Amino acid sequence: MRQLSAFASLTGLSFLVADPALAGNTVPGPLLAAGAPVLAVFAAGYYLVRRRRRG
Amino acid sequence: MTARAAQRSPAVTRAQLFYGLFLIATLNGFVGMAARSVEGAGWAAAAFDLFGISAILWAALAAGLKILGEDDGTEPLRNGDVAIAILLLLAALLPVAPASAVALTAASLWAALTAAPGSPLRRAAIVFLAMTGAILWGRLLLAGLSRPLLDIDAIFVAGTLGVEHQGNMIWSAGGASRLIVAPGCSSMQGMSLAIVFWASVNQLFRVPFGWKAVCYCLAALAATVAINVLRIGAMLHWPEHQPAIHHGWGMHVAMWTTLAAVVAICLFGARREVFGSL
Repeated sequence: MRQLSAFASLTGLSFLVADPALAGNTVPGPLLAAGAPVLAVFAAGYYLVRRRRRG
Repeated sequence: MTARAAQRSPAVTRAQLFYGLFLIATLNGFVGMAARSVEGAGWAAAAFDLFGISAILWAALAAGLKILGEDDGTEPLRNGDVAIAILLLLAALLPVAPASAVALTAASLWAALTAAPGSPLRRAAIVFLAMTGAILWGRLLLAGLSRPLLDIDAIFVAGTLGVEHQGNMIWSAGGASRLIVAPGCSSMQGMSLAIVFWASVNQLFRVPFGWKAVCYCLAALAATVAINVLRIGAMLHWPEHQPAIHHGWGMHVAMWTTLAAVVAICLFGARREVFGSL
């Protein structure tokens, strides 16, 4: 059941979970490159690389 | 328009078709994660958190579409393209986000196998195929093989700190505290994103595929595992700071350190193509 719950929470297939005690469990933990600031860093980095390649 | 010109520029090129298909399937694949993020944190916080989707995946989406934009627009559709398009659009209509990720896998595999070597379509398809690893297949692998994968993390932590472990459970020296490596703390999640970043950089800047490129990918994966192992080890070594290390400042330090290591390794591996004559 736990295996099924983990599968369901990881893939979004929450309807697979039959046991209400385990339903809706999400897996907490750090996500690599989470948040808008990281995307801003990527955009700035790409802009600098393009400028360098053109210049 | 002359007949020759019409032949040169088909009404819809393969690159144009797959541009739309990849975009639809990827955004649909994101929906499941985004819905959970909005539900848990509200719209504003979810938007700042990129809807719970790693910036690496958003950047890879942009890179894949940018690569497809480089196509010269002369390759017409081939047999099988329309079938793939219908399959993908049908999957997009299903109210299950993973269906789109499966369709994206099929479409990117088809495009990668049928496009000319080095063509924008093949390069973009490789990026989107790597993305399916982080969106779906890595998660499925972790769900299906969570026991051995989490055990591996525990073995690394136990080996590094010289402590005992059983399965995915680790005891501190003296057995005062114990830690269970959960799926969210597995190195697997970071590894699949490191592969996406490596694939995006290498395809965007046309890095030739070979042993050297593969070695840089392995180095990025090793760095991801090493930093995660250190993070878990720190939680075990300083149990009084466990909440801070798990989801406070420690999480941010681990995230930014991993990101810096992955970016540095991938860019160093592709330095000639990215920076020119460095």
